[in-house]
Amino acid sequence: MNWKTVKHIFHRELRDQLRDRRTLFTIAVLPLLMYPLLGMVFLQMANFSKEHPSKIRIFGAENLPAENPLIVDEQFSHNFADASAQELMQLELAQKDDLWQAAIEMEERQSSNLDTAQLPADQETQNSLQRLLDASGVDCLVVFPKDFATEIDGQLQTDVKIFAQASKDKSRIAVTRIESLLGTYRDKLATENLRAKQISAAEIRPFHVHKFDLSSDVSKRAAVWSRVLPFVVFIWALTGAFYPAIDLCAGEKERGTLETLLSSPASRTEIVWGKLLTVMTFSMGTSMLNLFSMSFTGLFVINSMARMSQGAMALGTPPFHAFGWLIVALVPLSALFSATSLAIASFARSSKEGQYYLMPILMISVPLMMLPMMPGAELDLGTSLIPISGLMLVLRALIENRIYEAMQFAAPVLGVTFCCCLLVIQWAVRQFNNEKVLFRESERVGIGSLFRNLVRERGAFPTFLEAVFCGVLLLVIRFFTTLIATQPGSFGEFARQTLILHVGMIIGPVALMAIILTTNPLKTLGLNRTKWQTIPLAILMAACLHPIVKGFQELVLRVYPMQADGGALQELMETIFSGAPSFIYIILLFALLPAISEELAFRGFIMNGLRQSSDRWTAILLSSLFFGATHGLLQQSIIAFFTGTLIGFISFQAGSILPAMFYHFTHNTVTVSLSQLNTSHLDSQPWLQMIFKSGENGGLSYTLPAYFAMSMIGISIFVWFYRLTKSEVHSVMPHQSEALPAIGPITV
Amino acid sequence: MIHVRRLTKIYKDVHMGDFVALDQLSFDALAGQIYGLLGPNGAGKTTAMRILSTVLSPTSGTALINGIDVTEDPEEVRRQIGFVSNNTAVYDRMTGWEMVEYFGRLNGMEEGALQDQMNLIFERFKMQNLRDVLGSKMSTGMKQKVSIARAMIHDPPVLIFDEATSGLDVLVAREVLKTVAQLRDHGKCIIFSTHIMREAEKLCDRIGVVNKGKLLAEGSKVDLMQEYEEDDLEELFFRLIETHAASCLDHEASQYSDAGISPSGVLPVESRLP
Repeated sequence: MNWKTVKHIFHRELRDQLRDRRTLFTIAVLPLLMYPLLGMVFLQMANFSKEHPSKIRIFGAENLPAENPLIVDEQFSHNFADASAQELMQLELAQKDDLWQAAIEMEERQSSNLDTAQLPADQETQNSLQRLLDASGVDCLVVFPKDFATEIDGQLQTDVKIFAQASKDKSRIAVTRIESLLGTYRDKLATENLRAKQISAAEIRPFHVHKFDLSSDVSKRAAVWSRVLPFVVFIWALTGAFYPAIDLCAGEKERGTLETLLSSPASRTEIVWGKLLTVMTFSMGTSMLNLFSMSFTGLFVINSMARMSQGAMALGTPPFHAFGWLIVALVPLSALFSATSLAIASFARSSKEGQYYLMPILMISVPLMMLPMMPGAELDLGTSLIPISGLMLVLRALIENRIYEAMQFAAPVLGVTFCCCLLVIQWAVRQFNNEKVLFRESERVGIGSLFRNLVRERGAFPTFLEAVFCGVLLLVIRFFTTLIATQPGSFGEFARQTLILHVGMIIGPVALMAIILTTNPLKTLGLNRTKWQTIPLAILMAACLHPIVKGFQELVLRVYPMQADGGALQELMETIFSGAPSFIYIILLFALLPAISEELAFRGFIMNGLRQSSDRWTAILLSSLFFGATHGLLQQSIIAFFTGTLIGFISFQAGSILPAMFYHFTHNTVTVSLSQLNTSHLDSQPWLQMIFKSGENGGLSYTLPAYFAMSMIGISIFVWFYRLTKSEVHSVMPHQSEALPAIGPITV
Repeated sequence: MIHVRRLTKIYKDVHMGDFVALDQLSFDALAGQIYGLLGPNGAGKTTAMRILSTVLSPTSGTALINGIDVTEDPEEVRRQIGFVSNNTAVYDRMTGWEMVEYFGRLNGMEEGALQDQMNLIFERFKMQNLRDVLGSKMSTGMKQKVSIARAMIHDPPVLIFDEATSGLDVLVAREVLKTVAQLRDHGKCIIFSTHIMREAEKLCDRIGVVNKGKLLAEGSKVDLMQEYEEDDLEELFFRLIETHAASCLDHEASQYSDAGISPSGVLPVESRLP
């Protein structure tokens, strides 16, 4: 790669973008104007909600005791409300009017429920009171009963009733204010009562609770900013990358300048790097401008609000070192977002089409950005391995000055981010080398054309979009099935649920889509002839690679420990296994059914569909992503993704899903069988000792020689598949059809 | 200078299956000559031009540009060519000068040589008025001039023009044709694809007639007319195309009659001129 060429492309693209008013507005003008404007609106709103005085109508003020008066000169006494509180609570001392009448009527009807603060059940009375309250312009009513003073004097408990509308902000604020004031009044009366009886306050309040906050203001500030700043920076890094990427790829295609560039001596890799650096520059620029504009405006807005709230902690400026760490983290993150945006934008034929692709990127990125903001999200090995989330958590630790903790996990976070960057850049280069992407034929979107495509213009294989739709459909079905399904109480119930899931919810929709959307459903589902050796070798490979896969499973479970109640799961598994008429039924449900249904769906319909508009690895990886996502639990999903990639590769090399089905079946059979073996089997079957030894929790694990021998055989077969070319793939195989247990040993 | 042998391009289409855009195309073009590829829309001219400019890669066959294989060293091939088509637009947000300068730099030209060459080209094509005009403000003719200047800034031995006059008014098209002729006179090897008969007739030293990806006939205008005993190139062109279309239909009919079904728009893979 010639970096001089990359530099020329970078300079040109940069200048081009800077001459585009829309881009300039989005990356520079918008952040500089948006935050001050937002701040102004926010302050106005805060001002309105905080400083707006509440109108409180009081009935029965004459019933209040004369001693320690609550109300003096038609205002709350300064003993219970300071000057500002008096200003914020405008009193109306009312006599018996319609409103009072309605309130009393409701009170009588619901007197038994009032202490639970329930609104009255009598809808008509309630509606009438609500209407009167609205008409009067009062935010809440306070009713002191007729005998209030008498009962207080007699040291009997009495009630004060507040009528308000929780659906209205002003009414809620009024209630908060009056409740706080009445609380102070009540405490005062209680203290007086105790004093009159010469009882120490310690009799009823034996101890006080004193909180000591050891955090300094700086660290409290850092804790708030460490959640806000990375999110703002990351979301703008994504937005700042996306729009220039669309213009530099889809926009160039649209304007016809991409072909001009492709016919220049610059290689595709140089073109991608030149564009990538431009997109990165804009991504970082947008993000930093937003960061500074937000911090600057935020400082004024938050301090003004603090002044308004009187006494609440002023948040103040973000710690200075936070900016440094944010800028450092921006480099790999912008690279990741820029390469992703570039790869996706290269797929679009027009800027308009490109805009549609922002939503899927946001749907994947935003949850990863939100995860570290959730309470309890901690930086550990598991979270550090999640792209974007890990980086955000390390940033949080750095902003909060937890340097040692951040450094502990810096290596995995940087490793994962770097690997993701490399993979995505590689993907972007592949997209630019792919004629199908660069000169992609139009897939018209619209009801009419959709119908025509579905019925008249069916191809032998589903389109890319149809394959993605199938994947999303299976995910949605899976989601609702999980919501509806109940925990099986017996083997019969489990068998019924599993059958419905695989046959009805996977095979059914996939077969239907293959028949409706394609002219060759068998080819679409991957039910092709293949070289006969692929079948026994796939079975042998699944069995021999099992030690590696098992090791990987254990590693995943160590990094991401299961949160679910292990005891309940164990009990459920025992119910299922003990209730099965024979072990064959277990194999049918845990191995055969998933092997058939999932292979037809993921390696059949989805992978073959994706292959129509993307290269081999994109199709394998995307179909494996869907395969992993349908497994629900994160731990199962990770394992299923990697196993799915391996199975997808086998299926691709063999040109058929039959070896994939046999691999899947064997893998699940071995996993389920192994979960049923324990140390007692080693004693009764001594030959097992050649392969297994006692493992954790009474289970078995592979012996070292068996581990190496089996792995070597497995890898050798993998190499055989790797060398297999399609011209070698022949021979007739019958085709079958049918099925993922949501529970149990981690099968895929 | 250009040697094309059995060049084939098959597009995989989701709905139509395999689409043969180029079917064993072979021809040679020499330095100081304009080789015209003449054919109707959809004949495969643009696909052939894109393969020669390495924007697309062939399914099979070879193409050598100045002795370099388009699939083996595409970057070097692109240094040897200048490519102008109606799809190669100019950048809206760059001036004429900046655009040509940019492509000179992408071709690895030294700064001094680049500036000299640019002054020469802007002078020769009377483009001084385009120096500071943004692409978005240029007329179609101006854009095409800049495109040609951009394609020849590095003084390549081979120039590829794909329907370069398409959509231009008569005056601008005439200017472009004059420029192409000048370039030939400077010893360049030029491939000029067009569907306009008069352009091919006036400009090209050798003509290859293509239809549905196949080369139907090839030679100088005089040779072609003698061989097919026609006085007019246009008449010859129509005859070749119609004969080929008829043979394609016969071929399809025979295929479908064997299968017991009627022909529908399937493209022929094998067809021969009588």
